[in-house]
Amino acid sequence: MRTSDLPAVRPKYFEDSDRFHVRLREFWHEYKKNRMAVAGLVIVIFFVLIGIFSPWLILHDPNEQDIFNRFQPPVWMEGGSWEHPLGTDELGRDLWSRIIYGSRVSLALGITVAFFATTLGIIMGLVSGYYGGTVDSIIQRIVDILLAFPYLVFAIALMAVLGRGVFNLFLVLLYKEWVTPCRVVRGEVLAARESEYVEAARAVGASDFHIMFKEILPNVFSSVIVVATLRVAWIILMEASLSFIGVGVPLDIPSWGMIIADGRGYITQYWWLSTFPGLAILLTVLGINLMGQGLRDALDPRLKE
Amino acid sequence: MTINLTQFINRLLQTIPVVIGVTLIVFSLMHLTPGDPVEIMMGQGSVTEGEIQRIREELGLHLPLPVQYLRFVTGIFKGDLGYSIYYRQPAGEVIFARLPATFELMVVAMIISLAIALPLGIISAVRQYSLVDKIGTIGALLGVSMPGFWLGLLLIMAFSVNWIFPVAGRIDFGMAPQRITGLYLLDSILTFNWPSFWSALRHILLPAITLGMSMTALTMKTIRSSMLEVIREDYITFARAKGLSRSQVVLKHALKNALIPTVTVITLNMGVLLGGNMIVETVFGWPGLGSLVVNAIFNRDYPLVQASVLIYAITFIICNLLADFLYTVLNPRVKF
Repeated sequence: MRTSDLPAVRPKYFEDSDRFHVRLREFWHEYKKNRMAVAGLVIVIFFVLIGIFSPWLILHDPNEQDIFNRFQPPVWMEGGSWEHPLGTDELGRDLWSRIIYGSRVSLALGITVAFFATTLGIIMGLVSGYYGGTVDSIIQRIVDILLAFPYLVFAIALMAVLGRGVFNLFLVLLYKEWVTPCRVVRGEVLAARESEYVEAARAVGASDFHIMFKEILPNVFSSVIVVATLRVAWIILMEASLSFIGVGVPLDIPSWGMIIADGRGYITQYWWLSTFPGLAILLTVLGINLMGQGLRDALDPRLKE
Repeated sequence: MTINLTQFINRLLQTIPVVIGVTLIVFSLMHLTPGDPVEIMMGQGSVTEGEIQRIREELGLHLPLPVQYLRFVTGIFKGDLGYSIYYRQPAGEVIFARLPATFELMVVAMIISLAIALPLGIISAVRQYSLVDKIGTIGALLGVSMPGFWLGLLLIMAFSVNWIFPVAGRIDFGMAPQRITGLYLLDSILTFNWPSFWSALRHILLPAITLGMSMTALTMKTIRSSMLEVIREDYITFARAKGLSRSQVVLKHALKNALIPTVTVITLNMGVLLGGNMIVETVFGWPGLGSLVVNAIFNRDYPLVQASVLIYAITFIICNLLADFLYTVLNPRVKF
């Protein structure tokens, strides 16, 4: 008897997709109860909009040098002007424009790395947890080896040999980022594998692929979303650290970490150079963390503190 | 307190493939460079072809890869971590000369972090939703959202004006105490050299606070949540019912159990501390392993980078083993 000959068992996910908008409304109802989470969402949307519309928000080319206007203070200080609202750096570059443009690298890398790492992590975690045995052992040993390096040490060393560059940053961050989602998914799969709904699916002859991606995945998806969101914050901090050390983005692409590093030598006289880009990182990461916590509370009440 | 020896040996055996994997990855680091590593290290055009050939042979780069790897691994077992091109010294020597500085910084950072996290974590759990709890939660959130190097720079800005806390180095010039352990704070106490102690303390405080912050938030959150769990247990209610005071119950009964997950989290977060240490040492010009690696990267001293990354990884693996070990010692019900 082929699977298609079986009486139509209406799988769970059909029902779910029918009710998608209902569930979304329920989710939003839960989410908006948490005022901090809403604040986080607002901050994140704000910075994403800045990233998208940065070409229209900047006042100068972020790399344009103006040697006669070096170290101009922010507009509210004596000697400041609206021409350079946040002042200028040691090469006379406009700090406002550089910070606005810097949001692009941070957010783009944070979101894309988190997306690809999570996708990879989901697949590895599903396979590892579902099949178990040798496959599981191999994947878990790889995970152990990757986890044996302190994160930043490894990333810095790898960037050092690969050289600066946005794509290299993407690879280096991705290289280890999939580990966390993989572990989370594997843990959930191990629990789900013995559950009744998986057994039921197996009983009606569903394929491994179907069980993994259509039965188990939707059920572990909420924890994955939470993990992925919090990883974005972590990736942004990592990118900033790498760029600060000088092994991150190329010199002509302003990134928050690099702008802080540029201002580092002058902080005792020209405090604004390193303070403002740092504030941008702090706010963005804070927003994402708040959002992640809100998502966790709304999607997965078990984890609520 | 009994430890199941076979289980511990099993856990040790499990780390063998991990260590092999780590050596493989560290080994391949140098071979990942786009282009010829020797040419990159020497800088193009500055050395003759013959010299490049000589260095290549010195480093064994002319041998087939598997042979090179075997030489690398057997070298490690003989204590040979390679040869630093920049310092013209065995990489092991360069690294071990720097270790005391890094170790001292990490210990002080840990002490500062615990001194903040322990009381705050306990109070926020015992007085949940109180003002202390709220301040602690907000502080922890800011702590995890802030890049460590930025906090370091803010501290430099705040304290460099009056120069109470110097912003670079380990100790004032000519003040280094007689070397016993290589840890300036400890050595100056052992030799009763108080001016040196004061100088070393002033130097270490800002970097240690910066480094400690990365761990404080996590530690505090862990203590808070495990404490919250523990104080709802029956035996705590029972202890209170016996007539013990609140502080007695919290400090004697609850804390002991709440510390179990905390110890694990602290040991596991050594990785954060080890990684953060590179950044903090760079920001404060601290002459330890972290700043050594960063400099080695810019000097393109790949053998030194390899050796340091290996030391970092091995330290981290030992920390993880220690975490598992402590966890079973503290909580005999858990098995590996």
